[in-house]
Amino acid sequence: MPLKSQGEDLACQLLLKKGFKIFERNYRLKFGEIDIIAFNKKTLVFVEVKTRSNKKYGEPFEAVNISKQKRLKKLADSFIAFHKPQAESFRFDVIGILVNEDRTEIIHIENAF
Amino acid sequence: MIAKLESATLYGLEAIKVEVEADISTGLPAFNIVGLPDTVVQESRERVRSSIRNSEFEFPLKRITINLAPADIKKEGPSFDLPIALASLAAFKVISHHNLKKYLIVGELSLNGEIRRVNGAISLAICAKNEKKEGIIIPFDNAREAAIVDGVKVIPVKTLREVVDFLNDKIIIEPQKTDLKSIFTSNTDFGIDFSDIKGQEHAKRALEVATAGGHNVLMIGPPGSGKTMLARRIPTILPDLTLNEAIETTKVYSVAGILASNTSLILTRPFRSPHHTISYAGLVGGGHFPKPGEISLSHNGVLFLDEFPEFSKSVLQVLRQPLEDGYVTISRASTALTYPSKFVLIAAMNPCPCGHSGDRLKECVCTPIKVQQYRNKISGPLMDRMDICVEVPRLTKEELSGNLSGEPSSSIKERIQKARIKQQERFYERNIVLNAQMRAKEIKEFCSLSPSAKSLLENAVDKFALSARAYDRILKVARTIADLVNSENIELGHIAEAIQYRTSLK
Repeated sequence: MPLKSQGEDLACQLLLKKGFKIFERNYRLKFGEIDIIAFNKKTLVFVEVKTRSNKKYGEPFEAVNISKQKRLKKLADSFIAFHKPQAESFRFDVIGILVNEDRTEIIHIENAF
Repeated sequence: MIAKLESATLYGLEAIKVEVEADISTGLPAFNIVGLPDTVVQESRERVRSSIRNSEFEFPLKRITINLAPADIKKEGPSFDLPIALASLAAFKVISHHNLKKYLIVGELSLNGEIRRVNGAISLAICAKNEKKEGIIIPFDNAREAAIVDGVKVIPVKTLREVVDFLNDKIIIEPQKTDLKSIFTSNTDFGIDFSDIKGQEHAKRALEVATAGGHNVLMIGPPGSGKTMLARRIPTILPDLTLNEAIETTKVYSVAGILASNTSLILTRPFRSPHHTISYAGLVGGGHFPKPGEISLSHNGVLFLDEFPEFSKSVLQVLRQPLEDGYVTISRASTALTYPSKFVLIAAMNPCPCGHSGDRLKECVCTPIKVQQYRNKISGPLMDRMDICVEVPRLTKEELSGNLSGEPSSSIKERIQKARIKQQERFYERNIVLNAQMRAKEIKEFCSLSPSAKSLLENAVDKFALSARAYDRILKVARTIADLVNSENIELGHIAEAIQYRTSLK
């Protein structure tokens, strides 16, 4: 299994454990993709999952830079416009996952940007 | 976790207290600075990050927000590096908070955690004193300058690590001490002297009167007659700076960033001679955050403008107001700042483009119109502000080859010093120090004329069509001439000398 979907599965497990309800995975438009869309009570959460196998280039979540944040905001806008979800508020989370042979590290940043 | 400490920013010659707050919160890692920082302050993020890492502290991957309050004043310059780094470290709980509030903290950081000098140390130290801080933490290179300010501990620091250990009470840093007496007894050797100049007794006398009372001088003469030579020797007869004047002058140099490293005070009166290609901003000060110009750098000293008519006309016009007021206010979109500019203007020029009009030996080749055009470059109002106009003629061959050396600077200086003391006593608690700075009230009070002197002056006003300003200025010069011979009243001879200084060239 590729690293990306392996990480996203791990993220989903974490969210479910935390009581989130997964609404959609890999919501894909022409210009990008939202990894996970989930409900946390009445808040709709757009989740970006970043998976890495080593820390050579820094923490996984550090890779969510300004341009990526802007793209996610645009994607979220279109999602809300099309699906009109029944949510009271919205937010963005980032989950950084480190996967290698001996251990997995998951860092969940709520309301990241 | 939030941490707070106090720093200061320069606002003209004064420093204003600035609170530096650091907050750490969860979220994607970010390091933001808010509170109207300029580009240099924004860039301090990179310096702070590197110097913290290179000082072997951890820089956590958290969301760090720095706030500089009050938020409506533009923050300028690199002096916030150290406060920002310390506020962040305090927010990371590397530094205990109890010492932070005691000090005002300034300093620029280099990437390896060393602390570099900042501008305006003396103003910053005064701010620390006014804010009733126990001390100021300041770069090592600035310590001697800051230590001039009495009543505040000056903690000289070299590296970020050292500051952290100091604030955590792990090490003790001895406050910098300065012995004012030993500073003021040091003597300067100029290497030049008024006795080098042969002849030109008239011009020397004029310069003596000018320096004694702070009057402006215009020297006119053919090339090579010694105008520049005379001007260069003015510093040798300038009276010593008083402590307050020295502090004022040092402040200006420090804020302009041209005070030499490890200097405590400027002890000689400044003598500035800018080239005639100078822009108006260079002369009166300017820039986005206005910096002091040449007229402020010659505060309490002499501004010498050689080749006076070669300066661009607009540049000379901007001199008019500061000459009258003794300060200059520079307004820009971001701020309006006031710098002091109490200087003596000494200007030198040729009488005509070829330089030989009125010369005894060489014939002038300029047409009258050319001469007129040349002289018109100095506008009437500016000419009106020149109290003393003096001709510096070509020397005769007897004067040139003669062995007669002039009076040495030291004895001229002695007379000037005496005249200045007399003025100081006269203007005690009046906020002025020199005859040239007298206002209408003081002129009325101190420039009483003998009846014969009065009638001479009235005749001169009629005959030469002198302006009201010229009238007042003649009185001021006459007052100085009287002071030089220690005379209480202005006598006929004094007023006559003052009148001829003004009218000899018109």
